[in-house]
Amino acid sequence: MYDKEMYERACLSPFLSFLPQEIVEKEIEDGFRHNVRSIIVDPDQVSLLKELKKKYPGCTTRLGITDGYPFGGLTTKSKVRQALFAVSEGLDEIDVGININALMSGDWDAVRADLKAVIDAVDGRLNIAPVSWLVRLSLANIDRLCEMYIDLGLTTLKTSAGLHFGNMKVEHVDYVHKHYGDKLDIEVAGRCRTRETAEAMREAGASYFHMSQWRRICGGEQDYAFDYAKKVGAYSEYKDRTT
Amino acid sequence: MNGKTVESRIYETPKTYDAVKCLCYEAMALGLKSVQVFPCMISLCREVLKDSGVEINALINYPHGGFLTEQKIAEAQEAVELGASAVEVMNNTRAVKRHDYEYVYREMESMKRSLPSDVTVKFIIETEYLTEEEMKETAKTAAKAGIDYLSTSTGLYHALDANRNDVELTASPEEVKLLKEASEGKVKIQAVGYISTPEIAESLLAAGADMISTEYAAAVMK
Repeated sequence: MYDKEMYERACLSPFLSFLPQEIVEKEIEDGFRHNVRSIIVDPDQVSLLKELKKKYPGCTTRLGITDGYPFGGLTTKSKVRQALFAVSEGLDEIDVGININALMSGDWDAVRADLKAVIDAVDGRLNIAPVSWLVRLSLANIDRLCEMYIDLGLTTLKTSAGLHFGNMKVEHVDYVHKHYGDKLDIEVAGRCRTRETAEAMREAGASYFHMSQWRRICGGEQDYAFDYAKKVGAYSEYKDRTT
Repeated sequence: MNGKTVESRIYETPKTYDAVKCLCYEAMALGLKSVQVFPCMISLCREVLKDSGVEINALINYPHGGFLTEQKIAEAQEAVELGASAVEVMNNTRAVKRHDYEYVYREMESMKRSLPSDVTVKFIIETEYLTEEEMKETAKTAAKAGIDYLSTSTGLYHALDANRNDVELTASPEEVKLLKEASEGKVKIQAVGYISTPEIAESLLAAGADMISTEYAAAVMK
């Protein structure tokens, strides 16, 4: 199985704490080789990312960093500082953690002000993908959040923080695409772990897939995981929890 | 259990303001040392805690630790300006995994040097990802850098058992003892990670932990 189109929809994030340097570099290089949609790293990996990209001159993979990922718990001032760092490095996009604490409290003014400060600071110089925690929100709040993004001029919605914070469903993608798909690209994150789920989400309107399981889903290869017994990160057979 | 060895910890942000306030009220009622929160919550905590004596410990670059050092310092300084008296900084675990302890030392040392001397500086080192040797070297590095605490874990992750069910990664007395010995007692140890009963907390304190930081503070204080 080799799916060129799925590779070009894949977004990679080789910044997890346990990753050894050789896996970080292999993930980045293979990402460029397959011309994935984007590679999002931590700020301390930007110089490596840019250096490795020089080896792939025709590659259109977008480069970016996280900004307040996954919790959005930074102050607005810190989010703006990180966003301006991304601009200064000439990056293409940032994954911004929205102020979900304010959202859960119904303080929409604070959610908007926080995100708007970042949008104003970057002033169109890079794309912003807000981390949206759809798995934790009511449909009414999903509506309000999508409308806010569109009003602020955003064109991408990243569905979830990923990690283990909840499983994104095909229905989430379907709902957002049906109502806001003409204005927002949907970047799926949040434990999309099987080829079947990814295909169903693509059918439902997902544009991109931000996932650590990109090798297995795109090309049937093994992905990295942490072996707690050996205390090493390595490529290995995929094991998921039962639920 | 002495409340001054216990911190109440919020480990994610999809919580309401009321939940953050409850964390503070609970800490005051139980006589805890501190609450541990994200920087965006410091102002609210300060309002609630006022002059109660409960301190605010701010998470910095949580949970991945991949900011540049100067970015971590800027975030920490801002947290202190907002009212935090302690900062709990994510260590760059990837630097530990490539055995670049010089990087780790420089980051810890410059963080301590860049903050007022009365601010407590803690680093989360993610023991769940480290070998014994990596834990020892990190503890020695922390002692050399002069930081105040090593915090064992983010408390975020699970492993899978043979039946593919989640297994909580609980702080262990053995790793507390190892960190204490390797740092020659120069760095305090804060145990973190699914500490949900008084018995677990007491075993960690007996092994040498100086602080218990937990989202189950009320249960631990029973």
